[in-house]
Amino acid sequence: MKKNIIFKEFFYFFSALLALAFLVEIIFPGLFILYFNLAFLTVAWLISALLTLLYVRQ
Amino acid sequence: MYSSKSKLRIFWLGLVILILLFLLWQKVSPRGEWTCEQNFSSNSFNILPGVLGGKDCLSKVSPADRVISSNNGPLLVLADPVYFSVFTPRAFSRAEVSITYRPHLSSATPIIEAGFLADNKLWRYDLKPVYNLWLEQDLVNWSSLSIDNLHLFQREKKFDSIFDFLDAWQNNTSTVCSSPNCLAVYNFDLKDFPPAINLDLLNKNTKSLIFPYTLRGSHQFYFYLSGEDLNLSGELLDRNEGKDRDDAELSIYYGQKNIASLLVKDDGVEIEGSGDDGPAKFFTINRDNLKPGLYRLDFRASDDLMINNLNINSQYFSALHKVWLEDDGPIDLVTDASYLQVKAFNPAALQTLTFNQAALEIEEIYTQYEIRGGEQGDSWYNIHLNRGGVILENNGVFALEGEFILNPNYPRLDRSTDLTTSLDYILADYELAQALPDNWLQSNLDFSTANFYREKGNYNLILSIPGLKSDQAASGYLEIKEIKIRFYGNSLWFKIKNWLNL
Repeated sequence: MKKNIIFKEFFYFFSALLALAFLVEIIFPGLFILYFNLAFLTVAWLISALLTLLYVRQ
Repeated sequence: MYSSKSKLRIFWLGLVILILLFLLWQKVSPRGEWTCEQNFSSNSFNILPGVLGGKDCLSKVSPADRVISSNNGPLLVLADPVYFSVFTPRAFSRAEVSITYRPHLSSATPIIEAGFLADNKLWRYDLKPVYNLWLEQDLVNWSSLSIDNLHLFQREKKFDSIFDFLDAWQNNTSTVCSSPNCLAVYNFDLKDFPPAINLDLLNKNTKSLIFPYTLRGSHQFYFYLSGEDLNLSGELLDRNEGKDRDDAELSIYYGQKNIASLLVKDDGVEIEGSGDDGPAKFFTINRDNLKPGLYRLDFRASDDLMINNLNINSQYFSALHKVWLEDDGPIDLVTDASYLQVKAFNPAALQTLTFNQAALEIEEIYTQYEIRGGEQGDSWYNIHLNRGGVILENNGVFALEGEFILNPNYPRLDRSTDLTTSLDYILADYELAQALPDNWLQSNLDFSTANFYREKGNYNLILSIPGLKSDQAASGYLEIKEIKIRFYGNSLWFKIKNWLNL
């Protein structure tokens, strides 16, 4: 599988997870952050975004 | 067939859906159970939060300067009180708290209690005993009787069973006690038992009383009505310092029965948080055809609200445990407890307080001072302040005149108890701590959490060791190895059955 596809899908995955985090935290405060560290997740999302920018070209 | 890209997308979409389902499962907690556990002596953590880097369900202790925590050692509690937040995905009706600890305490700090915040306006915690040094060790010379967790200690053996004692106490108090305050209780429900004072001996021809001082925030009062009418009035002042609306609720109880309630809504004219004083709001509560007797007034309000010109048709009017005084002029009160805790809230309130013959210099704001007022056994102790801006607290009541002090509560077995005085009996509902290897002790506490205050999914847990101060090495410290809280509530299946009327 090509790197650009993997990085792009990783970026989508972390974006979806972050969106889920904010949604869950708004509706049920404290539930998402009990199991997941938002700081780690945001860093992972940023890395995936950077890798997508570096490797994914139109 | 799916391409690699599609497979990968299906995989991560499935993972997100699984995470969502997992979170929903936790939120619903279908089994009706939830466990929050923190072992301070090991690096182990709850499997899922640990692996994925989430937070612990039991928060870090606050204030942090009252504890010493290390990676592998127990939590050392150096000062009283300390607070935890306990996260639960939903509200539960019952909680079992199990604490493993090693007390290094003295007779000045004989009691450890833990509990949850039950009422955030009255700032009332539902406390249960964790450890009581008197009951565990220091009453060995007393005759003791026990049924399950109910213990009766007699200085000189007079009753052969607890039931005989309870029967005598309930029906004819004079055969039990030869002197006032001969009985101290601890964690015992007194609602079916006579009050500690003989109401027949109170003066029936009292005048009305205007409480001359301004009180701030929530208070509880006892008063005695000799006639059938109740006339209560006063005014409320809103300081508008906090950001929340400041509604006030006044409730009057006869025993457990609510006989009058009044809700005074915040008019919302002034902006909350502006510091602009609102106009005085007058209130009155008038009732007739009441039974003569002992009543309780609960004033539930935020710290922004002050109650002024409180007028009631009874001179027997006492504030329970706490008064927050806000006057600029001199203040004279009496209390029936032999000690007094004082905290000032603004620099203008720094002063010298007089408690009976003793003087206390209040030199810092937000620091809790304590003073003892002489020999225990006095009927009352005089308090003199040059001005308000202070909170006075103890385990007794505060009144304007010693003659009209009204405290229906029995003395509590706590750190202010002097076992050499007139006490003849001690009655306690107390589960002795369970001994574990290496001198560790374990206590189990059971709470009904249905109506407890819960904010953003967190219950507020307090651990209290009255008298424990970090600047007084003699007061000791407490080691905590583990806190485990099991919450119980209705299961999903029970709710479905209920919903379907099965």
